[in-house]
Amino acid sequence: MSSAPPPPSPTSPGSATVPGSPTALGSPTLASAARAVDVSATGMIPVLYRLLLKGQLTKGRLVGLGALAGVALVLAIASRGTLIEREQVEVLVSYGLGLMVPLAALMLATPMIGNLIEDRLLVYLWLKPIPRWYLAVAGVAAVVTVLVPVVVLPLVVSAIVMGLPGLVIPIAFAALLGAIAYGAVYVFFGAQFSVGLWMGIAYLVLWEQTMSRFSDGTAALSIRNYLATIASTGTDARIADATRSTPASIIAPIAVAVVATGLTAWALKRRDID
Amino acid sequence: MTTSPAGQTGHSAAQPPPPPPGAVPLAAVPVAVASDALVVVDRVSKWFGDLVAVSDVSFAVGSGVTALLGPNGAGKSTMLRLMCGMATPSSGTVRILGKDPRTDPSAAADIGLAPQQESVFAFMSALEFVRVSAQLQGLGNPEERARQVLQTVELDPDDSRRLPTYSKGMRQRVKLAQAIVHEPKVILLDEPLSGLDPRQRLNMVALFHRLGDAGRAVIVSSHVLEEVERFGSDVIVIDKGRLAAQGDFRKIRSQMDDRPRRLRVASDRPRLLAGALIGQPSVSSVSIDGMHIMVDTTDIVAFSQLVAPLAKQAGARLVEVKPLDEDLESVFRYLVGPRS
Repeated sequence: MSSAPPPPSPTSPGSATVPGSPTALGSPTLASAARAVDVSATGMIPVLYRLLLKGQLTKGRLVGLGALAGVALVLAIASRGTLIEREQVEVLVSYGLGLMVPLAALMLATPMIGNLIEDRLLVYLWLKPIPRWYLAVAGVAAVVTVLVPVVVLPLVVSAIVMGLPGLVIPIAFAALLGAIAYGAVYVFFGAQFSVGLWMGIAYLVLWEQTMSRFSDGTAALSIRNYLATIASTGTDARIADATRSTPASIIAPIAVAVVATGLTAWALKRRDID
Repeated sequence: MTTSPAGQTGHSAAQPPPPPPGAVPLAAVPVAVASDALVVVDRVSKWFGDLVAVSDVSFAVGSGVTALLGPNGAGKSTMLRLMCGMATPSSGTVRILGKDPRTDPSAAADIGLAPQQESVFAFMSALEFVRVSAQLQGLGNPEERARQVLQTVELDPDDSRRLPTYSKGMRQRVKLAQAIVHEPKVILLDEPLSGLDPRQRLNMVALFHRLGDAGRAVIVSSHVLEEVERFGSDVIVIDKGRLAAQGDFRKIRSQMDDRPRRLRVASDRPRLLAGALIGQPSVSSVSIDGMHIMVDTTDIVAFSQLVAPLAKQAGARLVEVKPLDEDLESVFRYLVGPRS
């Protein structure tokens, strides 16, 4: 009740060719291309990065990000001459680092991989002989690339407009670290949860804005606390949330980003792909 | 590929599951997994909560073109996803050239997938899309490879239009191009011919055969059976998540002992010949349809030895004896359709 199958006659991996039939399909043969394989991180991550970056730069998102940046500039102009330095710093830190950076990161980062999953496009990047962390790193890098001009730069300009030159470098550094940390966290949310955007909003509102103010212990688990501390190094004014040490404030957001990127790679490894 | 209705790889301890309702209850025949099989699926099941999408499926596929068949919702797409590692089997193993495609990303170098979904990167041209695929496979000179393979699927590499402006058939060919740009050993194609015009279908089928002849395993999921017959005769039939049959469909048909063969016999005196056929041990039913006699036989060999002498004896001229249910569609209907 069985018959012998036509015996497979595999050729060696990597060297197999498709028989040429230049006239049949009007093409040169596939056989002509030698297969030279290089899947190093330095070769692959830039390819993924460019693809992800291009895919996320939609008009809608750029308008949303522009609006966030515009509000920062309006607040800076409005506060100039009307608020004292401490109040100006509070405005910049509360809005800029507490809201603008995480919101902008949320808008960009959750759909970075989440949209690929939703649109069933992830397969074209997933089914490749590359470690999953390449995709996670490329996603975070793409988020940060966009956030530098639309978040970091407007905050720097705001500090200048407010007449707070000492705050320029600290606020830029804090915003950059915030972009990296929040970006990595939200890329993970997008890769892990089908409701990544809502999870991100919940995290921002419930944890970063609410729970982190309850005690020093919960504040230590809030990115915003570390960013405020970095910003505080550029002013003598007291910032309410700036309660950590400066070295810890530099290390903590980076550590969050590394862990979140690792979790994204883990999520990509274990999830089923459509 | 070994021919077997409800084929199984050999497992002495566990009993194979009963055939699904409606499927031909053929004995599970142990199938030796060919040592040079490119794809080995061994007792794979996949369930989502209470829903069993794939149940205890085993088969091995070597080079050549193999059709993956089944009704809608039978589990074909899930099977393809399992084969390329996009889903984790709930139990069992999948191996592509000995590698687990789920846990070993390097297996992806040996796999090319053209998924069924139409979604593509909206901001890319065909050349960009295929080039990125080549780049992510780590190929040297991805631009040249992308151009070559686009020409192979009859697309213009210099067409700068974005993919969403392409017709469905053109997008199908772009997906096929990205699936084969890295010359994988295992090519999985989910409904690759939908949207193509007849000439393109012929050319694509010819391409599948060339790929198969070159030692690749080309597994094509399709629901259009007349197209599938052009792929060749090797099939894997999945019904309700279970393996209903695998192998050469003509041989599968020959193994369906409980299904009488239906033949159409043409004669100048059909009534005379029909009368002579009635009552013969190998004939289970006879009916007249114009100048033709429709015969169901349980023993095709005995019938073929019998019909000519009987016609001569009855004074009728035998014009033609044609089997009516040996095509793929009939075999498929018997395998997955309701029992009549």
